[in-house]
Amino acid sequence: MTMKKFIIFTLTIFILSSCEDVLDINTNPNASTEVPPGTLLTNAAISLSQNRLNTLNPDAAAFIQHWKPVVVLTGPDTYVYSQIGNNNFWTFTFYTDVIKDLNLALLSAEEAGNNNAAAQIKITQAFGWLHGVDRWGEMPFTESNVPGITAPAFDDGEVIYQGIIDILDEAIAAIDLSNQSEGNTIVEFDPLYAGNMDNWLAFANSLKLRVLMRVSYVEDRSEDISQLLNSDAEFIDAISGDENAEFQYLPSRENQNFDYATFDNFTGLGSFQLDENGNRVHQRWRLASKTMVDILEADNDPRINAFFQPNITNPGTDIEGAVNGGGPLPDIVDRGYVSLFYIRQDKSDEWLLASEQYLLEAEAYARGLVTGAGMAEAQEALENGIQASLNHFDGSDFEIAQSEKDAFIASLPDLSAISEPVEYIHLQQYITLFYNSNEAWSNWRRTKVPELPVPVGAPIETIIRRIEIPSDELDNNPNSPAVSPLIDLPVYFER
Amino acid sequence: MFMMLTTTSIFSVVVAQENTITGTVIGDEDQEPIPGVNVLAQGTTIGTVTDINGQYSISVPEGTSLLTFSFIGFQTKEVEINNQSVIDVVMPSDIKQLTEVVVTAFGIEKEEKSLGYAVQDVDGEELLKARETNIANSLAGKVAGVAVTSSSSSPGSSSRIVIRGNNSISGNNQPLYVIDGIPISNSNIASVDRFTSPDYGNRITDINPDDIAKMTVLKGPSATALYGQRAANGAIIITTKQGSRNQKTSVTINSSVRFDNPLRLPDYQNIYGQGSVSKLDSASSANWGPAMDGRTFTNANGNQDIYQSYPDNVDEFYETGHTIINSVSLQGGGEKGAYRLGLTHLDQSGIAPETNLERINVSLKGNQDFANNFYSSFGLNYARTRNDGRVTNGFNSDDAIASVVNFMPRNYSNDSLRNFRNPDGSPRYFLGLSQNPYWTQNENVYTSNIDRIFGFGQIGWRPTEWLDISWKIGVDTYTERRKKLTAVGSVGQAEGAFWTDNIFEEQINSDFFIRINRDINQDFSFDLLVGQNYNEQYVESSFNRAQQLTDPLLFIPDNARLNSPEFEVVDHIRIIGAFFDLGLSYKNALFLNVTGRNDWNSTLPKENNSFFYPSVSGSAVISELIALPTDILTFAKVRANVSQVGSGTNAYLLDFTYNPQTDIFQLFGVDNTYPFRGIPGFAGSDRQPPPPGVLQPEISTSWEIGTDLRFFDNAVGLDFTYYNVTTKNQIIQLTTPGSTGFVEALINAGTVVNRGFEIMLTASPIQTTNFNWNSSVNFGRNRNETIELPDGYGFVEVPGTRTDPSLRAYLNQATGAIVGSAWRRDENGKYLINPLTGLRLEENDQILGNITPDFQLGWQNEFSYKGLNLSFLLDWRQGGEMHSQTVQDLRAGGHVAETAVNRDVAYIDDGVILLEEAADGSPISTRPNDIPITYQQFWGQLNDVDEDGIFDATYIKLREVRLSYALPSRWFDNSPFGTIEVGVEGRNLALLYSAIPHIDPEVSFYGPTNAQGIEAFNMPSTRSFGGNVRITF
Repeated sequence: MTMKKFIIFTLTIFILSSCEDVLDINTNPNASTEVPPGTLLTNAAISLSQNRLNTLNPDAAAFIQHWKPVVVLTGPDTYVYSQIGNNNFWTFTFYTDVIKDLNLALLSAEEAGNNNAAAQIKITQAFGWLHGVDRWGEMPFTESNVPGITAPAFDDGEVIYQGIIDILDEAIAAIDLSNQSEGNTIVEFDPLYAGNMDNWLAFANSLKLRVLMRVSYVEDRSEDISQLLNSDAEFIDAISGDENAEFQYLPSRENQNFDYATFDNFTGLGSFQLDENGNRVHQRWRLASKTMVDILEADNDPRINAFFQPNITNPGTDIEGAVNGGGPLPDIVDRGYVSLFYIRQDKSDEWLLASEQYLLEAEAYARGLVTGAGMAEAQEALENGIQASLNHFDGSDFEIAQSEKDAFIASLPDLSAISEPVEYIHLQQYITLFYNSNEAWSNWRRTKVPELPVPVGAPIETIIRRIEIPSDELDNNPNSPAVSPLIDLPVYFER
Repeated sequence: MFMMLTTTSIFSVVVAQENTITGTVIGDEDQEPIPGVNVLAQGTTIGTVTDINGQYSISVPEGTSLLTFSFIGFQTKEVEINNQSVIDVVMPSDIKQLTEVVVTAFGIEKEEKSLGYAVQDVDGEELLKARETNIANSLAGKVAGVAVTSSSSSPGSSSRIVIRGNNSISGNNQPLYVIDGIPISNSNIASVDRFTSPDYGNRITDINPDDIAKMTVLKGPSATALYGQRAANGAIIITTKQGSRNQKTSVTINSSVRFDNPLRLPDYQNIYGQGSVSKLDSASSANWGPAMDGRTFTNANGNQDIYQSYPDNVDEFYETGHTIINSVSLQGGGEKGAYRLGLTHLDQSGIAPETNLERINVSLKGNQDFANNFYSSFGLNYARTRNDGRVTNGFNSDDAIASVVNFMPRNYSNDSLRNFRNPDGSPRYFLGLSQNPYWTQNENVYTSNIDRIFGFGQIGWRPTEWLDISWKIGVDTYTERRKKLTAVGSVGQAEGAFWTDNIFEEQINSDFFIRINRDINQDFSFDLLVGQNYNEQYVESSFNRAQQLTDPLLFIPDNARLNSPEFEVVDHIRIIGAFFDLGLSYKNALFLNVTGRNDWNSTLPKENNSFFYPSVSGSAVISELIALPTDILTFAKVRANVSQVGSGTNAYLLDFTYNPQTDIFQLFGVDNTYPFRGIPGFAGSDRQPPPPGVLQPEISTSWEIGTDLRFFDNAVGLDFTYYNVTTKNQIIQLTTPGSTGFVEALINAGTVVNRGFEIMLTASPIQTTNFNWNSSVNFGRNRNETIELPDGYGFVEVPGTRTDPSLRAYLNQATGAIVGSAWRRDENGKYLINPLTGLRLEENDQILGNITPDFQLGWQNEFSYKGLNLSFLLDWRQGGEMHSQTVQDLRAGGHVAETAVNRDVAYIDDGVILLEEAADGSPISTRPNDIPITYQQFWGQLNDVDEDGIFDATYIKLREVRLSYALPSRWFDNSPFGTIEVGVEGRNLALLYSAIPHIDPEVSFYGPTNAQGIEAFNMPSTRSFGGNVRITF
């Protein structure tokens, strides 16, 4: 019948009505599915640097009493820190930008056989991991960002520090100094060294030394340290600072130092002290700490006038440090302020300086961790390190006069003659890591030098030892500890 | 006589004789002729239609015994011919509309009695009682099972409808809106995040209630299986008005004026003013100062002032808003076609200063029959909205209004605030620090211009009475141009800024149908619909944020030193569907319906993008099968339905992507941008897409049973439905721990069940010649439960909240648990007190309540006496909790009456001091609290934890009242006027009961998203009242 044929005819039309091409519109036009790895590297590096400059360093500077914050962001002075900031750093900067994004970049670099690019990425990740494990103690490492694992298990410090050393070793092995061209190497999009693999190699070796020394009081790493320092390895050891791992900023608003931005955005609230012509003389929210001032004055250390500036009304340069935690502040005229060398628009983020390299070496030699080397090498390394530190301010308004540099180097003790040479080196490490306070805090927890008074008003009875695991991770990860370790629980590498 | 009979019979044998019968059909109520009545010679296919004068002429073959007369709104009448040649008929009104025709999917009309699922209609007239500017709000309290939440009262604000509970934890829960068979957009697109922005509105607000003939609510997958995925949550079918055939041209003019003011403002105290610990502090925003005794002091602007109370300061900020609606429409029709043209102009100003909205709607609709059995119809609608000024919500933006205005210190005069500029033109701050709301409304203006066109064209061919082939294509497209200014001198953006967002959305829908409607034999007939559907949706947004203006008055990108443009294709979806709907009926009393639809959806992976879902429904009109005592049980029907529908997801969720970076986050300020030292930055997404080929559609399976009973000759009607909807394979963004490198992962997991029942009770307690009283009750109770979640997860987040409290879907609980901070208590429920301070101790992550209500009930009454008509509607929502940040902050700041009592007394909180606790926080030893604290400390801690902001969300509202009078028609018998009706009306007139103090519980901070039950500094909702005149010619 006509009706039957009719139905069959129309049904055929409908069967043909699914056309796969018509439905193929689900490719996202708003985003890319493949990008140059250097762009991910830059994003991760900036994200990490922003956290260091805005939070990690200022918080740690209060923790280990490099300076005392007043007026704004004073919480860390009594070990109060932002929970939201902690959460965001863990989730967004750390695991998303530095770990996950760079894992993807690493995958594409390795697939393409670009060894140097892979090395650059790995070194950056190792640098990031060190921040994490130092800060939180235990965190997911081996199971982090593994497809299919939605509840990564937490690894302890021993596993993670070794893991960081392994990553650095892989990177060092992969570096090919003879082929530093774009493609094999990230050149144009490398925010740290612009593709200079010699510098990257130096950075990797110095970072490795830092990590080995970090665990040196709880593990016997003398063999590894020996091997590293006795080899012909490249380190960041240019006293001029040319090889320093410093993340650079520009004197323009779009690319300026994040820490500076905090001051610059609140001039209306008196962040800077102005003279009668409206010029900025010094900032007003970071005071010189009593701890630091006492140490520097005791040794007549010329760096005191580079770290700190006196108040505008002070006729001379004698300053009185402010006590961290609850307590009276010095009279305004006596106060010292973290100098404008550090609070400036184009101040770099100090990742690893030559001074730190030398002082770690000095400690290794002094402790007898390196076969065939002793106090003499330690002395030389000490003097190089101090020299590099004194030279750090060259070319700026805070340049230390040559005569003062010479006098101070001459006044350094003979390590073989004093009773606690290692302790002296530790003290110099504490001083030299000024502004890289996050690293200073890690180093202090290892060395416990100098002895620091617990600030009045702190909720615990020791210097703060770690930061809590963010609540989002505890809530969402069934394999996380039920409760976060408390802030006074020592971390893995502590003496 | 014998001779005559023989003659007649000879004649009937020899000639097939036809008799011509003529007559007039009039309506029984008004005795007026009815055009368009179907006249059928029973047992034949011969029929005709009454003309414009109600007259007909039909030639029936000899032997036909019955003529049937049928028309919508009247009871079908059967008249025996009995050799008459003139048969006049009086058609009794079908008051209860037993043969009511209901619009179902695709605009197909079916008799309600044949439907196997619950359907409820709202007549267009209901929408005009106290017109709402967002028509979604008009459904409040009128349809069982439909929950309407309006988010705020600003012009252009949004509204959310959920039918039978939330089916999807993170996906869409709102129904599909269909106009004249074409699905339309109801988008609510955010330009900047909702936390710091105005209410963006949703697009259903463009629809003009004056153009609507009827809104039909299809409540679940049962009714919407034919619409496929987009209607998994139900559908609201809107039929616009059209002319009728054979209807003389009529013109209707309608004019309404209404005035709005706040429905409820907090119950302020007027004894104490600004300050702390009973000391006056002119910079304080809290009222813990001394009693306002008239002393002089220096206020925050540096002027001498008197310390006195201004009880009406907040009230004075809110102006009386007005809404003026004028509409004209023209409709009519001839024998072969009909048309309607409607024009409406709406002018609204809100209760916040400088908020205005103007809208013009044009609606054109026509249909026409052509030769050779072709027919065609079309509809075209244009909606043009110009919104100049909208309020910013919340508290995180300096432009937020209510968070400043509702918290004015009690000694602060609104006149002082009105002065928002200093003599030198610089901005005058509120309390020296915050942005002045008058500055915000006058200078930092939000504008939105919407131009929308939607319409359809249809062409069809009806070659035989039983076959209908048609093709309908519809388009809905609009552009919305948004702009938000931040003037130079504003707090936080001293150099000025603005953002613009140009949104373009387009939907195309094409339906091709073949319908066969045939009687198999006398008892059986079938109705088969076969069709193919193509639907495409596209949304794009062109956004730019411009900062640092050179010329402070020029808001164009060229004038900004920094521009951050973002272009995004927000959505692009194509769905192709093929479906059938087979209906069988037996004796017009037993019905069976089977549907099936197969969809191909572009948002799912190729392997899974095709799926089929069926439904079966049946109904039996028992009163026509069995003899019932009809004076008691006039009509009885039972119905049952089982159906399944799937739904896809949004576009572009399947690939892992990287985004170019522009701004760089920093702790304070927005300075750093890419490129960084010349290097561009990209970041990977923090959402993990599903592994390729794995994502499946969400599938909702529902079953429903119900009954429709009418008693006492339709004086009382009862409609009862019980349903169960289970939605599996929820497509959710599962929160993953940060250590996976992702914040969320998109997976299929989780099952949500909604079950409940609906009751519609109608009664006409009094029906006399002059006086009628009709009453109806709509009741809906829904229980929602998450019965399955991915392994190891006890809950998932309900997305949408940005700050505490948050919402979660816990296993074996209703979706919408409110989670936040609470006071620590011992096992007896007493507060744990800090031994050092005397204040309570807190803990996080507690379940504080649930936003899901117990039931909703609407009660409508209508009284008519001659031409006078009075109706009112009560709306009752019972149960569920909500969180109000406003109430917490009003109390913590000493603004409201309860904080003014006993201020000078020291207070010992009713709790126990915690002396020793275990590692898990449980108390080991305590002692009764004896530490005195000030009243300021006691109240001041009330906004420390979310628990103190949780309240029962129950309310009873007098939703609308209308009193109208239709002038007696005999006055206009010899004039061009048809009817003249005047009325007064009011909407949201009173909050008869509310468990929450100070605010209207019916607001939503996050707009129409899934994050409901949370209020934070919303603008007060409005009550409106006014009058209306309607004239027809």
